[in-house]
Amino acid sequence: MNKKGMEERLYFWIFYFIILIIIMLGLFNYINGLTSKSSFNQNYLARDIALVLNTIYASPGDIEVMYSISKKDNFIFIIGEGIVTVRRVGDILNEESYYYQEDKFVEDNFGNGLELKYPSAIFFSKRGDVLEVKGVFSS
Amino acid sequence: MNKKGTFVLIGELILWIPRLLILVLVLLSVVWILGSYTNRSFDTSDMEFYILTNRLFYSKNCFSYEGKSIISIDRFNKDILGNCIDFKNNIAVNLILSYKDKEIELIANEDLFKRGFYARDLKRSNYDYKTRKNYVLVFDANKIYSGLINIEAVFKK
Repeated sequence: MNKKGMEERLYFWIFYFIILIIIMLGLFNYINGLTSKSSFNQNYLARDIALVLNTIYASPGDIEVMYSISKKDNFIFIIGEGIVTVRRVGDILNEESYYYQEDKFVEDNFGNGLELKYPSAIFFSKRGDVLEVKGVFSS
Repeated sequence: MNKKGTFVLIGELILWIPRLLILVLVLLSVVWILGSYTNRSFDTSDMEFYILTNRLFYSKNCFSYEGKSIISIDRFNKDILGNCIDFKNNIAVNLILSYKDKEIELIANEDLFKRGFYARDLKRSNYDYKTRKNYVLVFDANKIYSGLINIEAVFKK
């Protein structure tokens, strides 16, 4: 092969190498996500918090619940409009959501979606027909 | 580049089409195999059903008479059901209350309920079907009667 051919071959090999790197990084990220259990924890937390909300709505009287969150779980929680979403910062693709059933007679402070970033606990308080949820943050 | 070089380049690019297709198939297979062995899911439908039924009986915004575990017949209607629990399109319920010689049926999300009801015996279904019967007290015209409520719920997976 002449010099010109060798040069063109080189460009192809660089192209193959770039594709290989992209695929390897993608697969690595996917397998890492499976083995790191983060999506498992997110799924668990989304469902558990949704069940807590349903239970609070079921309560005939006033109720307060302090829901502790492990320090290892650095997640963002979004609560509102019948859905609890749990995700990591900047990782919209790997979020987990679960639904809860709102009570239309109860006022809440969720707005379009209450966002809690890395709370150490979530505090739920229902007094009469008012439900308040806020994050507890440890320094 | 000369004409011969151009033909070589186009030939290489055309060869890449089947290579990319095979690559995508291999990647999808890897993801599918890994996913099928590592899929961990929760089944919380039993607990959700339990909480839902208790909410119907105990929440003062639902059927409960003054927050007690007595069903107020004045509150046992579709408006109260739809407002005390916002089912959206995820859950459907069918309630049949029998007391004295009366039978009252309430249903929320009828289409979803029918789909889940007819799919209840299938091994693989997109719906979880739960049912429960409870003896209840019913408050009607200042009197308390004993009754029976049949609760059926369909949860979308």
